[in-house]
Amino acid sequence: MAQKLILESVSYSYPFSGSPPVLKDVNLVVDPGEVICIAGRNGSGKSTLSQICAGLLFPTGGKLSYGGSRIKTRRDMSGLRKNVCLLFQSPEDQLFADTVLADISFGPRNHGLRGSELQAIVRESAEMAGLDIERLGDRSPFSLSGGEKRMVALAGVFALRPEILVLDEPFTGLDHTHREHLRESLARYRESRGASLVIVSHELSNVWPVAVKYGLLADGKLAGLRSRAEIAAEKDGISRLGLRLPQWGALEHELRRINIELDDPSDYHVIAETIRSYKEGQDD
Amino acid sequence: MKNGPEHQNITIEGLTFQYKNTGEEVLKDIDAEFYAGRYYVILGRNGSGKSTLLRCMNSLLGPSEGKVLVCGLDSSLPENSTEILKKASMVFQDPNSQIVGSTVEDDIAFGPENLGLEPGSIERKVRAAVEMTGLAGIEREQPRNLSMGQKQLVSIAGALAMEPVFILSDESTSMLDDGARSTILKLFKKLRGRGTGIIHVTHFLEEAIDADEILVLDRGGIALRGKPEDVISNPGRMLDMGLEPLPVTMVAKELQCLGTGAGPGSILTVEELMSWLRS
Repeated sequence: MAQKLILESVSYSYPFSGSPPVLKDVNLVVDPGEVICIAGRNGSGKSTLSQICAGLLFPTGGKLSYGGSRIKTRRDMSGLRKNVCLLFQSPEDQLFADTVLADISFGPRNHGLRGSELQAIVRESAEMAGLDIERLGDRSPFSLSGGEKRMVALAGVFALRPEILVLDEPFTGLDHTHREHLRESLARYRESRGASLVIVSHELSNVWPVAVKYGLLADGKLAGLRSRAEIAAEKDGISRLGLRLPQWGALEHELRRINIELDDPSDYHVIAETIRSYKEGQDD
Repeated sequence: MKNGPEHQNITIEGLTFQYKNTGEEVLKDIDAEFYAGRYYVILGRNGSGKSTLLRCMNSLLGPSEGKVLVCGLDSSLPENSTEILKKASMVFQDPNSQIVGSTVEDDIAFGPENLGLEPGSIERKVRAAVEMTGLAGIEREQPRNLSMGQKQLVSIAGALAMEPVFILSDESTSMLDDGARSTILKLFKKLRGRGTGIIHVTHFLEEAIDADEILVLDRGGIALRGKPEDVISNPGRMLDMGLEPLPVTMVAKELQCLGTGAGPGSILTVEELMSWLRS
């Protein structure tokens, strides 16, 4: 089960003289098992924030803690890195080994696993990522399609068994079949490990069925986390941030305006059933 | 040469494209016609042949069989390729791979300079492209300092500086945030209004709602084509094509299955669903 990740007044400036801060006074709490989306336009600081959450960058200001322990120095970051993993936006940045099997094995092998134990975790991770390891195991990851590469990178991250998985623009460049596949893989992993997900995205439509809380990032400042319904009610606010409310959200919002409340705003069966009852009530 | 104003179109007849080394047939027997001043959207799952089709339309790839005529110019003739590149300008997915100039205006001038035009003429074309794309005020900036959305506008301005009849957009919106994406789509509409043909390849059905015509590719062939209300309003068919249906079309279809009177019919937007609900 995941533990709490807390960022308190975190700021970050890249170490070049005169670089303006990329993150300013960011507060974020990732509770165990929850799915959070950090959304903002290109250049808002999302990738920097995801690297701080995953322990790849050390904040230049503020406090970072995981599971109740404060991460005070760079040296403390290794604990964070064991528990939080980042799926990079581009699988090419993550993959490097000669074969798919070697790539997925790399992390657990570094954690000291060998033999049947290693094999088992590699197979389990590939399965969870929906990857046909029998067919693809000996192929070079670089010979695969974009969608397959993303799944190999994901299996490699699963194999590290992180408690928090940070995903940087995971849906970019994938077609619908692969996006569905990715959403299902993430759900499988989350259920089996009780893991938390932090999904960083420049658009809301792909994350809408998955993420429960939303943090909007603009110019390095993160607004407090909000629910789907709260985001749906802020159409103008989010368009000022360069984001667009997905049709699911727009529909939920419009229905609420005529007093139709939905139990699940991203399930079309639920929505249609609710609308039917409303329409029948009106026609009577 | 047949390339006067009567030939402001791209005609594709029996186009088949096969990679020579692998023998893989990426496009099979495609027939299509595209006119200037219209907005076309090409949809299809990864590997369905969308990008290959686009590359066949500006002579980057030549047909294995069949014919592609761009404004009357046969794309299989090497001597036509420069002229075809001027008539049908491509904009790619990643603007970083398309920008070469050290300033925005240098980059936009790259194409016209290659044509060996007079400096005054180049300047006029660059100015017009800057105005059209709303880049005025940042002409002297270095492209690398710009946002992804601005970079993509620079790429489009570079394409426009060639004064093309068609803009071929190969998923030019896919790496952009929602705000930048809507800026690009608005620009496409403006260009259509001024007589430029836009052929836009995308995965996003929302970008197809305003299309004059949609083509859906599957396994190298045209599986569906027509107006948005006929093509993308059927969620089951979109799923079969590996595309993510618009949420309201799923709700509308479900309402029809539940037998709610006539149901909302062929709707594509939340506004249409709400107006049916109020009726």
